[in-house]
Amino acid sequence: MSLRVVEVVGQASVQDMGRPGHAHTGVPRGGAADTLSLRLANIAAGNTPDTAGVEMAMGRLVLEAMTPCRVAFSSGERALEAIDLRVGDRVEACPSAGLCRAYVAVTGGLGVSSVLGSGSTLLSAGLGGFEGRALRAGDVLPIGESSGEPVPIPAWVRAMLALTLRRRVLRVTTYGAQTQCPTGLLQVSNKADRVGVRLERSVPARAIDTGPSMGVLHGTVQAPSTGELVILGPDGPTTGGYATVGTIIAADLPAVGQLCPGQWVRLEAVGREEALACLRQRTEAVVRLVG
Amino acid sequence: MPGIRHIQWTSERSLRIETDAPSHAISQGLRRASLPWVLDVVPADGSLLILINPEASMPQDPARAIVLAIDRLGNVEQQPRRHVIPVCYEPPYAPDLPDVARLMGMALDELVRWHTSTEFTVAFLGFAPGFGYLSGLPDGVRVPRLASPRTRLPAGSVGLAGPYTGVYALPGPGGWRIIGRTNLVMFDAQRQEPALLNAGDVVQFAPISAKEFAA
Repeated sequence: MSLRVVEVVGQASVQDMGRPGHAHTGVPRGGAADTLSLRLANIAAGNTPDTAGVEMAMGRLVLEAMTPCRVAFSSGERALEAIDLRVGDRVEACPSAGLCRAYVAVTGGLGVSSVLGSGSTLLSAGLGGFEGRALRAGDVLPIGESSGEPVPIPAWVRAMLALTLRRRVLRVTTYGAQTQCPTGLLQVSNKADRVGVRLERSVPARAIDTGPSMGVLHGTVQAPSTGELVILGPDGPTTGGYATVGTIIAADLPAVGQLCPGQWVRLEAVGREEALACLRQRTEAVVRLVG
Repeated sequence: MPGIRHIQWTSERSLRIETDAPSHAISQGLRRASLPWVLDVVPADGSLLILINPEASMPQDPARAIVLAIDRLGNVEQQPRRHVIPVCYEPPYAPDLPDVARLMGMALDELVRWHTSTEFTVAFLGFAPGFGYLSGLPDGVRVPRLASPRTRLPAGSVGLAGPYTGVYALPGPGGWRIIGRTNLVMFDAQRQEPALLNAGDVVQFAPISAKEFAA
């Protein structure tokens, strides 16, 4: 079974939940920038939530069925329904208004081989996914075997997703940070990709010197000497010497993965317990669907 | 446990441990302890970062559990692995050799002699897959990065920046000053251990001619 890529505008790559366990060798965890959307698309398609699908950023993706198959999208609150395709049927995925990314899950998953424990593409290293690179028109994506049944996604879960992804007040934990967390508005610059999202300050800040290299993670907010802020993405570096202002809580990472250039955000400090509670609430919603 | 100076949460899913001893020994030990709620243990410059799966069930006090786990490791110091990396220091593989020699106050051949007679230690890996930060530069020496990074360096490029020397494991952009190139494969996802270097390893560079490099 397979799907053919007919058209790509923007960047499309194969992603799953990433490859933890290799950060000490400089390999970032990677995986979907918005894991919540990919998980829900997978559940809708009848897959386990961590199955590899296609992440589409800032554009659109047209796929054509070469054999009968079933797909489900997540592009914000839209779709999230399994669609049966006949040979020659085409589907188009593009992010909803105000969002940056859409996900396509295929029942049975994409038949990419696992590299260091994951099907995710690490574009900067040409590793994993489909030939280690972004998808291009003409690529034929193999589809895996399937046993799962599609799960209908209730309206309240779509509503939760829409609100989660459009969050503009990003919550951060700030303990252990080297410098103060800015309270003013920040604007997403056009340097926003899987490595990091750059934010420009409305009030200029004093440059801060770099210090010794420390381990960093997806969601670390760095303050490079140039004065803006960078939220490290799933493919960001594993160590860094820039001062940090905090770390975006795990529950708000999907919203970071959906930020578009030009949008305004604000950071808000929260405690560890609150950060964990936010995530637990969401995880439980997803688990209820699968269970 | 000797070596731990301070342990603190840096987010709801990460703990930073500041260490006296090199952080890689504790880091390796913790990875081997394979706690199911620990995703990654990342050694860096005088500290290590422990990434925790916030969706996994974890102990009441994970920070304490980590300290106990480190206690149980006992003496984690191991004999370091040693690598000899052949490097060609000749043109066209060494575009910044004259600049680095000038910055370090050495003649060209003196720089090559120093680089190939020094035992460097892998302080930690980062920046990109397989990229090791090797310490062992003379005390106080800092090599400034290029003002504007090169957009594409070939894999195997050997450079210096700050207090470190290192080898670009994969092709890509880079701002380190390049003094040579190796044909050793530093990172290969298909190998049992993809990264050739591990934090704590000892590295020595051996000079080869352009002819040997091409062979």
